[in-house]
This record gives sequence, structure tokens and C-alpha cells, in this order.
Amino acid sequence: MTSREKTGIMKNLAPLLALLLTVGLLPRSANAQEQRGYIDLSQVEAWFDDEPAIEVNIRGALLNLVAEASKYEDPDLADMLRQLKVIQVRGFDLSRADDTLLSQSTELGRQLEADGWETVVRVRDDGEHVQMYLLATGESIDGMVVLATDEFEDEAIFVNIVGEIRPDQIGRIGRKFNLGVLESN
Amino acid sequence: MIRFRLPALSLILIGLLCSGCIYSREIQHTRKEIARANPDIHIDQQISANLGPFSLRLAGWITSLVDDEDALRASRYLRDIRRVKVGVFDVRGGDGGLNGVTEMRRFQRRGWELAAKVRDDDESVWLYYRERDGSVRDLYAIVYSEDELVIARLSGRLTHLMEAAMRDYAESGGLDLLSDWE
Repeated sequence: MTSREKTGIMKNLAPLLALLLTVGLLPRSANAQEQRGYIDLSQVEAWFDDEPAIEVNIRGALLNLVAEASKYEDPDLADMLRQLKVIQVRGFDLSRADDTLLSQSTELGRQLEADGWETVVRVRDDGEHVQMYLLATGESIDGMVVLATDEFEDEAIFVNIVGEIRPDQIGRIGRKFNLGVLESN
Repeated sequence: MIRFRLPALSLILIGLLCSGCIYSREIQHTRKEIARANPDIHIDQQISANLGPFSLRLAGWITSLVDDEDALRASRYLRDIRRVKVGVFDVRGGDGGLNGVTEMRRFQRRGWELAAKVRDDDESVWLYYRERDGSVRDLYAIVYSEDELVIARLSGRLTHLMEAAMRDYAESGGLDLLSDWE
């Protein structure tokens, strides 16, 4: 192949390469981390020396699978699950946490409030602390965060649900995923 | 006669091993990685199975011939499963915990997402998944207890499979289908 032929091929390929590059550089559809209502739970993980005893990350196709699996048993819940984007849970053994956990949790709550989240539940009972935050746009809720510690059970649970949430269905999500902290809602 | 049978049987056995019907390199690789990260634990082979599309299609065809409602359902489910790999291992030693699973590079490198992890005093479970075209196509489970390690991978149209199973479950009016598995 002569150098002139090679140059010709390159000229023909140039528009295709330019197109591929442009497509590659175009912003992709928003991933889970960019969704409104998502919080990075790795900041919570940093409060503990040990890795979480419970970790749940349900999103995308897996959330779709759970919705499909629920539609015969509980169609309303399935409809709601289809509106969700992410469910993430972290559970830790409280006996291995230090004394600063409560202040860190309170500080995270303050950060959330500063970012426009609304405090809807704050319970400080003997040995039990629960904070629930919602992020709303007009009438719809885009995200929910629950920070809960129970000294009697020696556990701390952190939940973040992203997507269109119907408040009356929060308890059902709790039952579906065995999240005691949400079941009473 | 025996002189001819022995090489033939050996060849069949080697053929089965090479085709992956018994031995799964992937499961063994995961076992080795776990063993490397947990040198105080002895992990010995107990059971291993690796069923590919051909074996599963054959199993689906055989179950479809059985005149039983549950067998017919199983045959339908098998159509959605493309591959099953399972390894069950005896475990000795250790303090009940298993390290290094979430750090395994093979999961990160090959696009597996951690769906759930539960670490209890006497049992730990890791469940990974992979999706394609908006559907769950692969599940990978590692279950570790005091005396047993189970590594399993299930591939296929799993969203479709789950939907079919739950539809049958709802239509059968309860846990009839699942009670036999317990």
C-alpha cells in the first residue's frame, strides 16, 4: 500500500473517528451517584473501623428484578419500586464504634439540612436515636435518608432511598427489605 | 474387554472435566483467592458442578417429559438459565470471619456489582450481580459458615426467570412450589 493510499484511507476514516470521539465525549445519562436524593454512604463507612456488617445496593436492573418479582404478590409496591432509582443500606456493629458516632451523625444531619433536606423524624429515646430526612421537589419526594442507632441492639443502620417515594409506602419498602427501622412508618 | 473400557472411561472422564461439567476454573479461582486472603482457613473440595447450555437444555427436556406440574415448571425455568456453576467446600479453622471477598479484583475488573453483603457471627453472605440490556444476567453468591463455603454462579435471563417463578408462586396460591426445597 502506498503512502498516498494510506492517506486516503485516513481521510475517509477521519469523519468516523471524529463522530466516535464526539459520542464518547458526550455526557452520559445520569448514573446513580448523580441522581438527586443520592448520598455517598462511604462517608458513613469512614466513621467505623470495621467494614459494614450489612451492605445492600439495589439499583438498575436488580431493582427492576425485585419490582417484577413483587408485582404478583403486591402490585402497588411493585409500581412504587419501579419509580425508585437506588436503595442502599449500611449496617454496623455499634459495639465497635467510638463515642463520636452520635455527633458525626448529627453533623451529617446538619449537612443534609444545609443541602435542602427536610427533617421529618427526630427521635432521641433512651439508647435509641432515629433521624429521617426527605428531599422534596414540590409535591414529590426525590430521596430519603434514615440514620438510626440502637444501643440495646448494638447496631447502627443507615438507609438512603433515591427516586420518587410515596410516604405512605415507606413502611412497605421496610417490610420488603426487612428494614426494621422503616417498618413502623 | 476391560482393557478397552478403561481407556474409554478415562477419555470420557477427561472429556467431562475439560468441557467443564465437573470442574469450574472460575469457582476454583475464587476459592484460591479466598484461601490466599485467609491463610488460617483450610478449604477442601466437597462438591463441584458446572452445567452449561447443553446440559441444562438436556435437563429441561428430561423434566418436560415427566408428567408432573412441578417438573413442567422446572423445565420452563431451565429455559431461562444459561449456566450454573457451584462449588461446595469443607472449611476448617479460622475464627468465623472471611476476609478479602469485597476486595477481590476479579469482581471489580469484570463489572460485578455488590448487591448485598451480610456478615453475621456464624455466617456471611456476599451476593454480586451483573446486568445487560436492563436485565440481571448473572448472579454470584458466596456463602460462608463455620464449616462450609459455597460459591455459586447463575447466568441467564434472571429477571424473566424471577418473574415467571413469582407468577407461578402467586397462581399456585402459596408456598407449595417452594416447600419442597426446604
